[in-house]
Amino acid sequence: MTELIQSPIFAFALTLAAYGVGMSCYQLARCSPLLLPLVVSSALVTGALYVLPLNYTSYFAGNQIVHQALGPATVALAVPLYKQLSRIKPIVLPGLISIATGATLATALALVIAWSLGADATLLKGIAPKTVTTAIATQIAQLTGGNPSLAAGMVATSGIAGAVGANTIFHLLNITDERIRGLTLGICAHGVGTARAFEISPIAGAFSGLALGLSGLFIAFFLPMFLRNWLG
Amino acid sequence: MRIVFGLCTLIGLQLAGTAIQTSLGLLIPGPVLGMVLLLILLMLLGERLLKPIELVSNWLVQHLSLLFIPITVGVVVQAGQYKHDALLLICVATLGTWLAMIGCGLLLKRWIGQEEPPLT
Repeated sequence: MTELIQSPIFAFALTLAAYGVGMSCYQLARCSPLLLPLVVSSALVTGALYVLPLNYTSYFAGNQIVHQALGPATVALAVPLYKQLSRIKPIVLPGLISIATGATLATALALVIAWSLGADATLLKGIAPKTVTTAIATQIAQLTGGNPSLAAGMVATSGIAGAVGANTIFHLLNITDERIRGLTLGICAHGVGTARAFEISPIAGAFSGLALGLSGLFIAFFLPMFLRNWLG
Repeated sequence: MRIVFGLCTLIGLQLAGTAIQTSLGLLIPGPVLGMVLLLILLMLLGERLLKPIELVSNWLVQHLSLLFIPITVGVVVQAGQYKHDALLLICVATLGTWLAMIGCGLLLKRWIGQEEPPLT
C-alpha cells in the first residue's frame, strides 16, 4: 500500500483529484472567491500529505509534469493577448504607463510595510520581488542576495491574497471594466491573479496576462539596480 | 495531431526564449520571452498559426490554477521555517497586495477610463 502511495502516478493523480474537487466546490459555491480552486485544492493536497506516508519531495517528483507545464502555459498567454489586440491598441500608451506605475507602487508598498514592521536588509531583498511571477522573482532574489525560496513563497501568498480579495476590491471601487480588472490582477497578483482573471472572463484574462508580462519585464529591469543601490 | 503540434510549438518557443535569455544574460525568464515570440509570430502568421495551437493553448490557460498546485503546496509545507517573521510576511503579502490593487485600480480607472459593461 505504502509503495502504491509513494509511486509518482499516485502523486500526479492526487493533484488532479484535488483540482477536480476544488473546481466542483467553486462551481457549487457559485464562484465564491473564498473557495478559490487553487486554495481548496492546495489545502486538500497539504492535508493528504500530512495523513499519508508521502513527503513533499516525492509528491513534487510525481508532479514535475504539472509544474513544468507552467512554461508552455506562460507562452500560451500570447494567444488570448493576440485575440484581444484590437482592444489593447487604443490604450497602449496609458496602459504601459499605468503598468509601470502600478508595478512600482506595488513593490514600494511591500517594501514600506515590511520596513516599517522592522524587516532587515536580507528579508527585504526576499520580499521585494513579490509582485512579479515566480520565475522572475527567484532570479531577482538570487541576483541581489535575497532568499529565492522566500521570494517564491511571497509571490504565491501575494497571488492568492490578490485573487481572494479581487472581487471585494473591485466591488468597493466600483470597477466594472474587465480590462481594468485584468490589468490590476496581472500587476499585483501575477500568475495566480491571471488564473483568477481567466475565471472572470477571457478579456480580463488577456489583460492580466499582458500586465503580468510587462510588469515582469519592467521590474526585472529596474528592481535589481534599485536594491543594489539602496541595500548594497 | 493538433495537440501534439501545439504543445511542440509552445515548448519550442519556451526553449527559444530560454536560449535568448541565457545567451544575452537577461533576467527575463525564457517562457516570458517565449510569450513575446509567440505574439510576434501570431501577428505575422495570423490564423495559419492560431488554428493549430489554439486548442492546447486554451486548455493550458484555462487550467492555470492546476499548474500552480505543486508549488503552492510547497510554500505551505515549508512555511514553518519562516515562523519567526510570519506576521510581517503575512502582512506584506495580504495588506501590501490589497493596498496595491486599490491603488492600481484607481490609477487605471483614471488613466484608461472605464468602458460601459456590455448589457446582458
